[in-house]
Amino acid sequence: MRFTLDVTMANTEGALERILGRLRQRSFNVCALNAGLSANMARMDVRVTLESARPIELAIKQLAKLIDVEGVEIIKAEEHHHHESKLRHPHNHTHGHHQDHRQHAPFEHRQPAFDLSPSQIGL
Amino acid sequence: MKGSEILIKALEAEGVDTIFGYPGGAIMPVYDALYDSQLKHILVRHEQSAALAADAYSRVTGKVGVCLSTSGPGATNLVTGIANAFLDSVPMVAITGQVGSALIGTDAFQEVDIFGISMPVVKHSFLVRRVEDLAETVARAFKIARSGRPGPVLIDLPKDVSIADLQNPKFEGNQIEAMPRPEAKQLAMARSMIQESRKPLVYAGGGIRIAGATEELIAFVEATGIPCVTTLHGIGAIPAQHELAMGMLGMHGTKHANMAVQECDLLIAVGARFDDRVTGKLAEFAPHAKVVHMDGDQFEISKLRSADCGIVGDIKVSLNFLHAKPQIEEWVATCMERKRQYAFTYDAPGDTVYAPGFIKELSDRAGDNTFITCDVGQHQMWVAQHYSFNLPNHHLTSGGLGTMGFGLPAAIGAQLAYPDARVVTMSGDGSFMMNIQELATVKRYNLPIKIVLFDNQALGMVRQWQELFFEKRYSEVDLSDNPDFAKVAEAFGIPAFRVEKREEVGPAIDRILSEDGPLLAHVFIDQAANVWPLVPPGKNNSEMLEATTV
Ligand SMILES: Cc1ncc(C[n+]2csc(CCOP(=O)(O)OP(=O)(O)O)c2C)c(N)n1
Ligand SMILES: [Mg+2]
Repeated sequence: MRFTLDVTMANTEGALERILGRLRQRSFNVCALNAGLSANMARMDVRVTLESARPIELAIKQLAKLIDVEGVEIIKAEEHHHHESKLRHPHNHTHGHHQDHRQHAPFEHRQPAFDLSPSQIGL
Repeated sequence: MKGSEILIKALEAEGVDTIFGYPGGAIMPVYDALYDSQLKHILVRHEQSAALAADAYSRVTGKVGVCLSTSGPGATNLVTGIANAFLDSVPMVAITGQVGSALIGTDAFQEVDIFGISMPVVKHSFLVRRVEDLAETVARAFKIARSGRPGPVLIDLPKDVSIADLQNPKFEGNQIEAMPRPEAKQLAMARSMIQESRKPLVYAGGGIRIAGATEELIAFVEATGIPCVTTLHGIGAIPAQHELAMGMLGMHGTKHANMAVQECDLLIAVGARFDDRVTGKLAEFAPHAKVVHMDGDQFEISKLRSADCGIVGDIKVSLNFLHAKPQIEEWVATCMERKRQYAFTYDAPGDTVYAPGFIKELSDRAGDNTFITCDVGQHQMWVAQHYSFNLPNHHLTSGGLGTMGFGLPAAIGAQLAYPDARVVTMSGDGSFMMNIQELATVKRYNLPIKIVLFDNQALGMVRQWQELFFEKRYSEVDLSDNPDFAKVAEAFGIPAFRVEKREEVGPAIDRILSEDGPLLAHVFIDQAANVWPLVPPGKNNSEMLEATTV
């Protein structure tokens, strides 16, 4: 399954690295990446296409947990009906110069439980 | 004012009184500023212990723990302790000296990219590039460390920033943020689910300690009459002797706790996270239950097990609202009957010391104002099973990372926080060697810590797994050439004695409870003694192995 996410974040030391590290550690392969700073250099917009056997909600939650991340939004899901799931970071506010006028619902979704392979559970 | 002085003032503005650390080149300006400061600095003998002691200091006080090291090896030595705090959600600020800004990226002497190295095990990190940003960075670090789900934050401080001068720096300090209120709609839904349930069960985790919600949990359990199981970090959230307390669930949980989980029709998870040590095979965990999941961290809800009702926000408020009166007499009677039937017994044959019996007797006699820290292995599970805790922050254990070597530095952190409390660390012969150098810290500060060292001449827990799951092929678990730990302790100036027979246990505990200063009891136990019950890895919680079945 492939998903494209838009991530908006504060432009702080290591911000992009944090995103990529988090995705790698949680087993999401990055297929494409595009990142750019806002005009005043305070924020960064990242568009990332991911591939993984794990549910995309896991990636969204893990990214949204990062302190610098202000919003995560699915913009494309291949082999899937287009659906939107988005999450605003609880610590952050939307910055004025990039207002997103759509409504940001609090994160509330259902996902099927998934199991980690028992053979990977060890001492 | 110099950057290093700004750092100290900013720490003071956050209410910090004690920090744990070890000096070196890149952090020398900060140590110079410490020389004139009121902050109490505890010199440990390995940076890992600085982080672990700060972690424990935080667990027992609820404040943010602070540790300090130099760049390079000092910083890398901190990493295990930082990861320990990360996995157990302990608020901590770790400050590392860094080489001067101009040298960063040149592979300078004692330069490592600690910002990058620590990234996966911190909540957030800062590299301070300008002295103007320092005070605000410290304030932000503290705020992040304690907000939401707490955790460690790293501040990497280049040497040129700590010696730079700044006129009139501002210190703001932080107010502690209130947790958001849970949503009324979710609360109402949970309340009716509880009301309608016939076999409900509370599953309480480490989030209770973090939220300071023990009173609310007990009030909820008593008002609803619902039995309560706890995770390793939930131990003490409800007093062990409470009639509705069912003990720990999961891999080394009690039989009655695990049976209740597998049979319940409603699982009320409070500050718990469906960790694999708890659930065993996740798909078969609590298979008949609907789930109400309360947590301060919105990201935990439905992470591993989909919740039928997720309640984000202040656990205390939620618990207070949920005092329903379900009709559950039959279920409670079943749970209580099993609790009687499967209670632990202490009549193991033989005259060698039986560690669970030792722990039980100490628990019965030690009194309430006692903090217990432990290391990792069989002895850790015995402490969890056989010591009766009345408060969650009196049981200090490395649950998430499982860090051998946690026990002694954790005892140091706890004892410094509460000099008048009784602090006992229970360790294993393997784990104790991981931070044995801290005996010097115990001696230097004359901390009256009591060390109970269970010596089975083995890496017991690994040995147990090799016995059960690797056809008794005992690979590299033998520690029969252990040093004489009593002599080692004495070499550090700490009195010590041996406990070799079961009949010596009572007098040993007399001594542990009566002596004023530090003391080490070297307790010899049988290598063959294993931890029971045990849910084998990857199995569901109803497939428990017991001493009698293997
Ligand atoms: C730093 C670290 N290394 C390795 C392990 C894996 N491990 C878990 S328990 C254990 C054995 C602990 O031995 P000991 O401290 O003697 O405790 P016992 O099980 O014998 O009570 C080991 C090696 C660990 N948890 N932590
Ligand atoms: Mg051992």
